[in-house]
Amino acid sequence: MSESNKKISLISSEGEAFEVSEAVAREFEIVAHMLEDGCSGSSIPITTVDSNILGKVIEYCTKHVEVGNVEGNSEKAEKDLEEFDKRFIAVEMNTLFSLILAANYLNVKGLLNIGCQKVADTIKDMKPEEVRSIFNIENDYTPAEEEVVRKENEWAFQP
Amino acid sequence: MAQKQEEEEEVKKSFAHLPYDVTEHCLAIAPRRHYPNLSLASKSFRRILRSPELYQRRSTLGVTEPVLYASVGFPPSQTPSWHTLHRNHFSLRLLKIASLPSRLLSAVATVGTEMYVLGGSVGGNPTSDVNLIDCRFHTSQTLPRMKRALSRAVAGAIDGKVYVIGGCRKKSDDWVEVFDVKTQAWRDMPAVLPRAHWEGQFSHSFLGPPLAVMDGKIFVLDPSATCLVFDPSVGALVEWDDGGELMSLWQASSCVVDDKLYTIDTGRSLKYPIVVYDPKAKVKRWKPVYGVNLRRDLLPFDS
Repeated sequence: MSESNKKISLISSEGEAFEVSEAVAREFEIVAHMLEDGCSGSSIPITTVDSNILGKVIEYCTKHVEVGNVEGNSEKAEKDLEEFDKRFIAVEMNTLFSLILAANYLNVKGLLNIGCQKVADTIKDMKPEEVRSIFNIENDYTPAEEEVVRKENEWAFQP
Repeated sequence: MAQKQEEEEEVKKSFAHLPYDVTEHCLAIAPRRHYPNLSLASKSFRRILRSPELYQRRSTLGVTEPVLYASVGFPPSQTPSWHTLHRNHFSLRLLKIASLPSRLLSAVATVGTEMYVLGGSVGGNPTSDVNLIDCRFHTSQTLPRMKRALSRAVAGAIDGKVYVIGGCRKKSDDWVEVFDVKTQAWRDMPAVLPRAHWEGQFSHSFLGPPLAVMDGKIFVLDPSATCLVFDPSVGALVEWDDGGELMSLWQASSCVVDDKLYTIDTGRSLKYPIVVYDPKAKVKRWKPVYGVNLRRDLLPFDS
């Protein structure tokens, strides 16, 4: 258990260092693998993630490590964590995408899951044009192609 | 300052920046009823939503949803069509899927996300037509015909094979046909048949005959209200020993979950609203399912 006191520095794309406990750093599976592969350096560059997002990912992992260490009363702890996740992921779209990209790159499964869930919850019930505008994507259908897709799902578009 | 602004614009992320794998994950966990609308967003959305891999993923993630399909028609004026129970912002209703083949008095068996529509009646005559419906994409294809024209047959799928029982005048050697999903071929199945003296067609009034596939066997009620069970490993259709008990609460709306038959017992003969029958139990009796409160658990149809 003495290992858990070890500190590791994660360096953001801007070169800013975030000092975290090894337990928190290990929540990044990519870091855990590096450590297992004998990478003993105490500072690890995370070149594709900026300070803002890296800070948030660390906040997420720290909370999850803390709660994971609390013994007993697991039901309450789980509920608290759920609440935390809900608040944590209630961000605007640009940040949400950055968080998902970072979670995917760093392999933080829990964060990736709640990020994708947030996306799924957001797009359901949306009209196609709303989906496009909120997700910043183009309508690449020609009117004729769109007609084909409508025809394919004709059953669902009944008045 | 100008440069700073440019940088900020550069990092503006969009859905298109997400790796394919992540986009697929996001769409896989969205409820299926939203797929038709979402596939209109862009070509890449549609490509993902029309891929078998997406459904594989839903299955791996444990987010598959049961979807109800019903073939509804009012003969003779209206031939039946497939409908699906669909929920949108406002309502929960049966929507007609005009593109899928449906026939009066056909037998239906389901394997995973596919439905086999077997035989039935066309213009008053039995047919040997077989269609396979893919419930994921609402497409259908024609399969090799059965050896005989059948209507009012019953069918069940067990271990990659589709068994069709009855549906024509009863003879000793060709009353059960089996379709091998892998080889896509039909063959007759020698089967011992019950003594029952009926024409060989099952009752299809209203909802079709009560039919259940449990424990690798097909249970069905024949028109003379005898409970028959077909065991493909033995090749025999026999009377179920405890048929009387099974029939006492079995109805068309009963359904099988994990090899057990569940039914809503409106008469509360066992004092509980839902009862279950386990064909593998030592004592084959309907038993109450505890902990269900119909008013609390059944009513909400919210999204």
